[in-house]
Amino acid sequence: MKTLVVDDSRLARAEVIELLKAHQEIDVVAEAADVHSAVESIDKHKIDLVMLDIHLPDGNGFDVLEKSENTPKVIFTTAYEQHAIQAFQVNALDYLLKPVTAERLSAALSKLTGSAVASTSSSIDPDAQIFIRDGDSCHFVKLREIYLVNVDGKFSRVFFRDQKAFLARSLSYVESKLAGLRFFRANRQQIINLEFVANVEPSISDGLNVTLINGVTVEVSRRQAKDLKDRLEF
Amino acid sequence: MTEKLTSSRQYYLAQSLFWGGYLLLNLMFMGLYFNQVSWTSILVSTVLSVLLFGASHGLRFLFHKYAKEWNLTKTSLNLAWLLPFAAVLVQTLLFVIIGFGIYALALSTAGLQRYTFGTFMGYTMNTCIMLVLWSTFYLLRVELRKRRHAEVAQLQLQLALKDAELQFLRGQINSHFLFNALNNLRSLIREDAERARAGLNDLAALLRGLLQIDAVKKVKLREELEWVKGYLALEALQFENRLQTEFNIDNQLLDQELPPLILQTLVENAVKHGIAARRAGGTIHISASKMNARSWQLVVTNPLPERTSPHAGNGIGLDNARQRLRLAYGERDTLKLETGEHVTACVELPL
Repeated sequence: MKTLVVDDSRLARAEVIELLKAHQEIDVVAEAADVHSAVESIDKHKIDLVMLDIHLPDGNGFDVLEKSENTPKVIFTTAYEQHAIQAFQVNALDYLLKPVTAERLSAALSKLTGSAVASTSSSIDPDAQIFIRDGDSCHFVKLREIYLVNVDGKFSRVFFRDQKAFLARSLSYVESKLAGLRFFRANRQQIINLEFVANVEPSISDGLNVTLINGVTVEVSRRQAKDLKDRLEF
Repeated sequence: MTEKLTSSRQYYLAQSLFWGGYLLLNLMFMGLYFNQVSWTSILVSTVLSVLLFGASHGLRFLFHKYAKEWNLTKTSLNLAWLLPFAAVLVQTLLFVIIGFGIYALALSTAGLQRYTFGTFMGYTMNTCIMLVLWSTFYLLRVELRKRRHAEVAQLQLQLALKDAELQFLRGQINSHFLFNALNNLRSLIREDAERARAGLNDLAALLRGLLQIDAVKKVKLREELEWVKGYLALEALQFENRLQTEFNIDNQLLDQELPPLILQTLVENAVKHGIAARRAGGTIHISASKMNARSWQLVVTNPLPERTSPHAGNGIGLDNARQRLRLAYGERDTLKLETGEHVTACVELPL
């Protein structure tokens, strides 16, 4: 797993790198001391895992996740940040308090490795996730948990599990990130997850009405209707 | 505002009761003495009460304007000539008004004593006694209120002191700093065990100092500088080349006293905003110098952060320092923070 260690203290990075040496599957390919170089590194090295400090000179760990194109797996390391951690909807996320102990690090890594193997070769990881910061709350969302993406002004609103969050990216951007997965652009305003489709009926306007398993209905435009039939047929 | 309003309402109510009561008392005595109450005596008593109301109101005005800060002796000495003067004034006005009134309304003068200089003096004496009585009540009331206010202020001060003390103790151990220092020392053990041992000594000295400190008792600049240097040595592990420091201390000031951890707070603040929030880091200047014969100053300068306030909890440390300075030296705000090309924090202290 290609790993990046981010901390503005050199000694702190050295400590984490030293601890990671005990783990064969971890390959530390880069270090970064600030948001700027961390973002660059994640995108350049196609980083799988980031050991990420929250306090950085030019921002914080959340900025790193928000600014990078790919959202890697993350283990936060922090000196004392109970409240920042609480701001999270704690899922698909682990954090370690500094000084980090070997045991806690092993536990955090073992949570990750299950899905990590699959992610190495194929272009799209079924567990791929995005990081969304909406106001005070942060979400790590697995792409397969998303059932609907709506246009919201110039940006998007993502619906997942029983929640929704604002994402400062255009719908086209989201669509391009989801390409290759079972997502479908139903109309100009919406993208749906085909895994969630429960029922399809013709609509009055020659398109299709799609009902998702959670009862949400989405209208598919006439133009897109044929594509949808193709996608749904095996 | 509302307190002022209710207190002025209370004042007018008290005034009306006092002089209204005096009016009734006068009429009662007249009734007992003459066995009847004539329109003339009602008129005289009423006008007298109204005049006394006015006169006492004037006295209150003068009191508020001039005598608020006077002590009781000075106030009494001034009243000693002012009250007889007011009494003469009231009686003269009464004489004139009643004279006109009797003439204009053609009221009977039956039941009125012959008006001589002697009776005038008698009435004036009577009025003067009433004014003395009124002044005594008034001053008593003022004094009581002053005491109650002082008591409340005293309680508030005590509360603020307790609060500041608590905040102070809670705020002293900056957990973020502490755990980062431990983490860095742990890493340094592998790299340079001797330096790590020295770092642990710094940390121990800092913690011991913090645990012993009293929020109110002052320390010498010399001691304060020891802590600051220990603290900076530990922060140097975190920031390495990014943290540069420059001291400029007037050695004659080393024995001057100041509330504990004031300089430490300023330096911590400078590191947080001027070093931690900058990729390139920077230099922190720390100086202690004489200003004039009566005061000296501590100045801490740091570069501007890269972005505005990347860390939460800004200003709590400085507010705390301000509060402690206020407790130690009174109301005047001696901590000044200026932001230009650099951020400069300056504290003025008495010699």
